[in-house]
Amino acid sequence: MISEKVLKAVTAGKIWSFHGGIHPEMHKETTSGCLIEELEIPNILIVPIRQTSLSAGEIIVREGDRVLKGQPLTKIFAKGQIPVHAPTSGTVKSIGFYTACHPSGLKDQAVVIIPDGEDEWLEHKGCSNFTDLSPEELADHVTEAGIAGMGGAGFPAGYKLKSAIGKTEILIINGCECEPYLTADDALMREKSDEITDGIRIIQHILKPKLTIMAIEANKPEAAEAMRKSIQKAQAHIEVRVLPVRYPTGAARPLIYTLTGIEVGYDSRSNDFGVSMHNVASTYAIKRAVIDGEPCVERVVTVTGGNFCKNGNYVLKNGTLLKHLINKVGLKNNKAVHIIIGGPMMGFSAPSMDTPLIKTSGCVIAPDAKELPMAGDYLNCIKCGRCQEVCPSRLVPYMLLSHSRAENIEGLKNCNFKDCIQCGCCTYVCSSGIPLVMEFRKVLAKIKKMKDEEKSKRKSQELIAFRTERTEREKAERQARIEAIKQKTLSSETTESKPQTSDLKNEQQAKAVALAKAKAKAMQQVNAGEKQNLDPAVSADDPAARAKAIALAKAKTRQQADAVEKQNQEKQNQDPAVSADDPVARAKAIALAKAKARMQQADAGEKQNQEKQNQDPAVSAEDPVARAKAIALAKAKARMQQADAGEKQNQEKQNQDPAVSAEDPVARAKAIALAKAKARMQQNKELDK
Amino acid sequence: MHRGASTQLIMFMVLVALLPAVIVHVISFGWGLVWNLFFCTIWASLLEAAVYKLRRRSPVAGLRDLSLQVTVWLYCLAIPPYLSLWMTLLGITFAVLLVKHAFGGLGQNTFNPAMAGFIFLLISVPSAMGGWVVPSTRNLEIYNPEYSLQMLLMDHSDIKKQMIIDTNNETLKKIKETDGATYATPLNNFRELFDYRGVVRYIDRDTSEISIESHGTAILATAYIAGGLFLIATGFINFIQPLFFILSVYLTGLIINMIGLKYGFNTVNNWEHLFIGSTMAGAFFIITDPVSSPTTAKGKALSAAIIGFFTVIIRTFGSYPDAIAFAALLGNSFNPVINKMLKPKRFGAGGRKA
Repeated sequence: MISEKVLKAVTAGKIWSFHGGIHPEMHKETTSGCLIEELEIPNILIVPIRQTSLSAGEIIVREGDRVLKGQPLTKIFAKGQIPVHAPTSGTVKSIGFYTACHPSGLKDQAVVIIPDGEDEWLEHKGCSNFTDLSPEELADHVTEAGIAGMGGAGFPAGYKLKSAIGKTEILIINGCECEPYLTADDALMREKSDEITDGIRIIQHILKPKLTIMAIEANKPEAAEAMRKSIQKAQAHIEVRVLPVRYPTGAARPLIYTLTGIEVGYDSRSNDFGVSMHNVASTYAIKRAVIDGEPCVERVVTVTGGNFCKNGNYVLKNGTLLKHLINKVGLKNNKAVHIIIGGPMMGFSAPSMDTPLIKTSGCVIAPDAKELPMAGDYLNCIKCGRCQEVCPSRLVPYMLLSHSRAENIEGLKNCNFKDCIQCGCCTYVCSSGIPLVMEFRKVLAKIKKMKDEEKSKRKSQELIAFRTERTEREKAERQARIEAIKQKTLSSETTESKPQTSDLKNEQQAKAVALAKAKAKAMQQVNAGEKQNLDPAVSADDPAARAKAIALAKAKTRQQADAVEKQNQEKQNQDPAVSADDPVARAKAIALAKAKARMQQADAGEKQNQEKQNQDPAVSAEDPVARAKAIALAKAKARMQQADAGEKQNQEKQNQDPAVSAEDPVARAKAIALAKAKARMQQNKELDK
Repeated sequence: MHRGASTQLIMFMVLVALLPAVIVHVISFGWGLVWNLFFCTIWASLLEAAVYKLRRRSPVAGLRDLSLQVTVWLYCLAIPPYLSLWMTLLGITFAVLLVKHAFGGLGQNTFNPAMAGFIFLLISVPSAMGGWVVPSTRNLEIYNPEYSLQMLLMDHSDIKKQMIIDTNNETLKKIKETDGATYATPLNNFRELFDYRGVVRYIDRDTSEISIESHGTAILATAYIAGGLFLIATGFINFIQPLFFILSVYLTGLIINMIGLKYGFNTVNNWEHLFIGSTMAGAFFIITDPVSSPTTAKGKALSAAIIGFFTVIIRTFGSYPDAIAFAALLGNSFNPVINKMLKPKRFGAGGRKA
C-alpha cells in the first residue's frame, strides 16, 4: 500500500511528470462556453446490448413490449455484465443485429425502440441517505444502474468500485478531459458541480479513501472554480488539483503517475497500489443512480467540428443514431461527410450514419476538410524516434509498427505491445504521417481473432473430456434405468394415442410437466458444472436466429451426406427450439426429420429412432396433429427397434427431452446449447476415429 | 489526428542548415561544389526515379521527401570539390542504388548513404580523393564557374597537375613544394595535417588574424556548428548526439595525447581534433541522420560516443585521412545491438506490487 512518505508528498500537492505526451491544438473554444442542451427525442433508438468491453447481459424484453424509460432491457447473468435500460418510453420494435458503435462497423445484438414521445419514467425511487447503505450494496446498485466508465474505456463502474472496497487509499476523480475538442466533462463540472460532489461523496462512502483528489487540467479554470465552490458548500474532503495541460494526462495510468508518482504497470491494477480512479461523467451518473434512482440512459456528448452547424454539448439518449443527431444539428457540407466518434486522438471514424451512440461515446466530431485531414499517402518511417519521445507508455512505436506490419506476434510481445494505450501521440508526431495507431488496431484485431480460435479449440477439447467423463458416469446409472424406461415407452403408446382430440387442458398439463422437468434438468446441468455459454443465435425467442439455425442445420444436412449420424444429432438439437412456437417451422422440421428417417432407416435405424423420440415430445406439447403423426412414427420405430436401441434412446432422452419441451426460454436455450455441444463433441469424436 | 514536422520539412531544414557550410565551402574552394551539386542532383534524381518506377511507386512522391537532396549535399561536401565527374557520379550511384535502395529505400538503410558513397570512392580511387585544393579567398576567382566545370571534366591526374599550377603563388609556395595540396602526405609526422581540409593550418600560417588561409577548416567547422545549432534550436535534431560525439572526440583525443607524449608518438592536439577534418560536419549532420542512428536517447548517446572514439583512433592510427566516414559506418553497424540492448524501460517496471 501507499507509504506515509508518498502520501505526504501527494497531499502536499507534488506533481510528477510522465514520459512523453504532446500538446495538440485543443479546439475546445467552440464548445467550452456552451450550456448543456437537451436534444429532441429521436423517432428510433437502437440500443446495443453490449456497451462495455466485456460481455453483454441477456435480453429480457420481447418484440412488441411497451417499455418505460429506465426499464432494464437486459439482465446480468455473469460477473462483468451490466444491464442496459430503455432510454425513453416506447415500444420494442425488434431485436436483432445492427451496426455497433465500433470502428469495424460489425453488427451486434441490439434492441430497437420506437419512442412514444412521452418519456415516461419507470417508477423509481432514489435514496438520498446513501450512508445508510453498505458499500457493497451501493456498488451493486451502481452495477444495476448500468454505469460504464464514461471516460471512454467503458469498464463497468460498479465492478470497479466493488473490487476496490477496502483497498483504496487515494481516490482520483478524473476531470482532466485532455483530448482536444471534448468539453462534455467541462460542461458537466461547470453546471452539475453539486451533483458531481454528491457523486464523489458516494464513492468516498464506498471506498473510504484517505485522500480524494479531483484532477482538472489548467485549461478549465471555470470548471475548477465551480467544483471548488460546490466542495466548499458541501464541506466535502476533496482536493481540487489543477494540472498542466498535456495529452494524455487524462489517461488512467499517466494520471495516477502525475498525481502520486506511482507507476501502475499495464500488467497490474491500480487497486493493488491503493489507488482508484473514476471519471467525472461516471461520478455524475453514480449520483443520479444512487440519489435519484435513475439508471444510466443518457450522457452529455460534445458535438463539434467545423462541419456541424451548431456545435455544443447535448444530452443524448443511449442508442441515438448519428443520422438523427446530424439531422437535428445540421451539417454545412453534406458531401463526403466524415464523422469521428470519440475524441480526435482515440476515437474512430463512424462506419455508417446508422451507428448508435452509446454510454462511452463522449464526443462526435464532424471536421471540415481542413481540420482533420484524412490520413493520405504516407512516407516510409525514417526511424526519427519522435514517436518514442512522446510515447507515455515508453514504447518504441516504430518498432511496433514494423512488427505489426510483419504480423510478428512474438516481436510485438517483446516490445511490450500490450502496454500500448492507443493514445495516438505517435501518430500525431510521426514525420512520415504514418497512422501508427490504425496499424496497431488492425493487428490487434488479428491477434484477437487468433486467440478466439484458439479458445474455441480449447473449449471443444474440454467439452470432449467432459463428455467422456460424463458418459462413464452415466453408464452406471443407465443400466439401472433400462427396464423402467422400456416399460414407460410401452405404456405411453397406449396412453398417448388418445389425445388426438384432446383439449387445451391436457396440453397445458403437458406443458406444466415439461416445464417442471426442464427446470429440474436445468438445475442438474448447473450443478454438474456444465457452464456452457448460451448461444444467443439459437435463443428461442428470436425468429431471425431461429430461421438461421434451421438454415444452418439444413445446409449441414446437405453437406454431410456421409456423416448421417452427426446430422441426425444436429437436427435433434435444433428442431425442438423451432418446434416450440412456430407452426410452420415446426411442420418443416417434422417433415425434414421424417424424410431423414425414411432415407436412413436401413443403415442408421438405431440412431433415427432415438432422434425421433427426442423430437417428438417437444412437438407433441402443442400441436395435436403433429403429435399424432410423431407418435405413430415413434411407435412403429419403437416396436421395431426397441430391443437393440433401448439403451441409447434412454440415455439421449434423459438428456434432452425435458429441456426441449420446456417453455422457459432460458432453460430451453441452455438445453439447446448443451445438445449442440454434445453434437459437436460426437462429431469430433467420430472425426478422430 | 496528425500535426507534426513532416519528413519533407525535416529534410528541408537540414538543407537550410547546410547552407552556411556550402557558402563557406564555395568561398574557400571555388565553384566546384556547385557543379557537383548540380550534376549529382540530376543524376541521383534520375536514378531514384528509375528505382521507384521499378518498385511500382510514384517517383514524384518518392522524390518529394527531399531525403535524396540531403544525401547529395552531404556527399558533395565530403568529396574533394575537383574530382573527375565520372567518379563523383559513380560514388553517388553506389550510395543511391546499393546503400539506400537495395536496403529498402528511405528509412530502411543500415548505413548512411552519403558516407558510404564517399568511402566507396576513397577505397576505389584513393589518390584522386586526396586532391583537395588549398583553401584561399583567391580560389573563388581562380575556380570560377567556367573553369571549375573544365576541371571536373578532366582526367584526375590532369586535375592534380592543374591544381598545383593554380595554387602556385607566393603565399602557398611552400605547400606546392611539399606537394601538400594534392596528397595526403605525412608531414611533421602528422598524418592528419594533410588530411584534405587540414592542409594549410600547419604551414607558415599567420595565426595573428583569422582568415580563410590561416583558419580554413576552422571557419568551415564554424559554419557547420552554426547550422547544427540552428537545427538544435528549432528542434529538428537532438542535442544528445553532437554533445556526446564532441565530448568523446575530445576525451579520446586527450587520452591518446597523454599516451602519445609518454611513449613518443605524435598525435593531434585534442582541441584541434574538434576543428580539423569534418568533425563538426559529422557531429551535426552525419551522425544525427535519424535512419542510421539508434532510437532512444541513451542509445544515441552511446552510438555517438562510439563514433567519436573511433574517429580519433582511426585518425591517429589508421591509414585513411578521413576518419569520420569510417567511424560513422562503424558506429552504424552497432545500431541493431544498441537498439536491442537499450530498450526504454516499460511503464510500471519500477512499480511496487502491493
